[in-house]
Amino acid sequence: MSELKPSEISAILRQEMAGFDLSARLEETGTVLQIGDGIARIYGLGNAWAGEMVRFNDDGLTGVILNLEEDNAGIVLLGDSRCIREGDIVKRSGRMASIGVGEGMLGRVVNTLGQPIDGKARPAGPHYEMPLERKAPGVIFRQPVNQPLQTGIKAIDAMIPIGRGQRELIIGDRQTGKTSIAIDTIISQRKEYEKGQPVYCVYVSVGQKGSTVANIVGQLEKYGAMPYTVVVAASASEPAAMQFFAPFAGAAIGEFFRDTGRHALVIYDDLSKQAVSYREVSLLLRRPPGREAYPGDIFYLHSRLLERAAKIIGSDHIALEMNDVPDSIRHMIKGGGSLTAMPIVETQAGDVSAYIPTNVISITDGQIFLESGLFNAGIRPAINVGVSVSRVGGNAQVSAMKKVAGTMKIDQAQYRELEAFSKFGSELDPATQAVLDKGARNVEILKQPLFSPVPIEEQISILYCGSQGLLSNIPVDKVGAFEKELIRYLRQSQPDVLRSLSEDSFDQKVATALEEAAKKVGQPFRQQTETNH
Amino acid sequence: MQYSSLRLSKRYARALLSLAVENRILDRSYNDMKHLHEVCSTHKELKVLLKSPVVRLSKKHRVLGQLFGKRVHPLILRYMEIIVKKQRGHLLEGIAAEYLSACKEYLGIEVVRLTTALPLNESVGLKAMEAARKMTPKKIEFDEFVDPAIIGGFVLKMGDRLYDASIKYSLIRVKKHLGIH
Repeated sequence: MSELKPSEISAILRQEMAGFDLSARLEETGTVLQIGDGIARIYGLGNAWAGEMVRFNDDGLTGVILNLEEDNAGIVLLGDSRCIREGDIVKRSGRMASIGVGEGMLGRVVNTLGQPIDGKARPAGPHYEMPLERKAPGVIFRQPVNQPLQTGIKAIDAMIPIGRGQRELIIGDRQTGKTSIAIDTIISQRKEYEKGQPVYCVYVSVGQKGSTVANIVGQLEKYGAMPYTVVVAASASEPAAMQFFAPFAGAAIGEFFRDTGRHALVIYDDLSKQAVSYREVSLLLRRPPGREAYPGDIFYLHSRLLERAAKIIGSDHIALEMNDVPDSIRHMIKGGGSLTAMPIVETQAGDVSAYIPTNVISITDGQIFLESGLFNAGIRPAINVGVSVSRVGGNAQVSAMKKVAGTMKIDQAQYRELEAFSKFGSELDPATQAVLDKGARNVEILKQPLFSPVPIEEQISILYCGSQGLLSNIPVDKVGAFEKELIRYLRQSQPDVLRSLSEDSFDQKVATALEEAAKKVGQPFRQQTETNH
Repeated sequence: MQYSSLRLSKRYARALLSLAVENRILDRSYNDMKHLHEVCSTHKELKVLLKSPVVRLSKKHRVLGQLFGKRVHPLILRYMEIIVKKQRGHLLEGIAAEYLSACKEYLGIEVVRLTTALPLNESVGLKAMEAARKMTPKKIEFDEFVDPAIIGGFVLKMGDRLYDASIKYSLIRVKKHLGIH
């Protein structure tokens, strides 16, 4: 290796140092009065703002001002507090808590401060500073939800459709498949990504085990979902402040895509753990506790976060006027973008009337309710169709799906009611029996394994068979096999039907083709039944 | 000091200041409180004695009388006795410190803490004064400290504001700029 000359070294240094201002500046400071439990009380900082970032001892540790009191400021630390001592100097940064967001973040796992934690290099490309706390777009800059967001889950896309810009809550007990629905939704966006119209996904993990996060990232990588996904992880060992700010970091990343005219989906997994960490910080800051010891502004914490999910107006010049746009992305603003939020809330023993679940239910535009009873009965995804709703997604549902699955929700609710009756063993009239038969088959159709989102055209095909009673002669336990066979047949022999369904055209021709296909594919299943009899 | 004590000390100091102004003993009281601060900061046992609930109040008053009776203004002695009576004797040192800064603020003097790596020489002193002039229009009084850890240059601290022209801080900023961790 050739040796470097001193002149070369000084030339490199000079180049690196070009534009660096060495002159001292006047800074505003404070002194640490008290430190502990991730909270610092600071004396001084007379002109500081609430929500401003502060630096400790010039060694990179930052904090955010949450309380401004008569003669001290309450600060939450975003890192390890062991190196801080009483009497240390704290400096104002002059900027609100924010993170650097850019395209380079896609495919990466970052922490609440936007720093990569996946062991890879710094995210490449330009970074734009996005504030963690930002006011949601006003009414002028929004438009109603009108584009569907396909989750690839039959039960959701058929009965609880989600639109882009909607806030749909996933709620249920532990181990009922809440995260799986979110992950399936992310995986389902791969098709859009391949088409060149990506829905960028942000998965925010709050207070979960590091191994769980690693597992989720592994699954996303396996199914090719990472190129359009950012994972924000604040695991259980992180300070409480990092955990409760994590969803805000996720929202800031999502807003970058939303405000630049693109579509984004953000999953907050989960808000009950975030509320717990916020409660911890609030109590340590001596804010008065309220119901279940949560602070008074716990509702506002969630409502301001979820309000940031929006469908932005299509017109570029109105979008340009949008409120609270960060200066860093002002030159890139475009209309027509959206940010869809899927918060997750965990209930205890199915109790949806607890504080956080009721709050988040009332904030969101609908909920997907998962039940452990259904999960254990083998109905997966364990969605309770009766109590799950989507208040705005119906407008965004593709018309073909609306035609096919329009009455499905009511049919299934009726089936659930009659099912309870049929258990008495009394004789049933043919009409009731027909409802029961159809309902049982529809339940089978709606079952779906993990990590296998179904394209919308295939969903419509099988749901059409279910809604038209084309499965009546097929035994319930053979419905799954029939579905597989039907899809295989359609892909091979009737690609035109699938194509026209994917283009949202459902006419008589398509209907006839589907009926014929169902008859043909169903033949062997029927024969089997007859021989068995 | 805990921030609750800090708040208390400030309030007691403010009360004494208005009393001193009213009785026209500002200069005398300043010197007395300075003396009190020196005694309290050098003799920790006095603080322990004043804080102790075991020692009777009359004894505490006697000790204060013997120590300060002939040296301080009677009003200041009476003030000390009231503070001890209210069981805030341990705050006397903090109150004295707050009183000194409150007095200076009242007189329009800004105390600037000047830290240098070596004992202050004329050229650094001039530079520091020039920098301090930009920070305040008030009369400036330097409180000098020597801290070799700052390597060179000087650091000015005035209330919440900090003007760090030390070599140490410049090196930290260069390090950050070059992305060295």
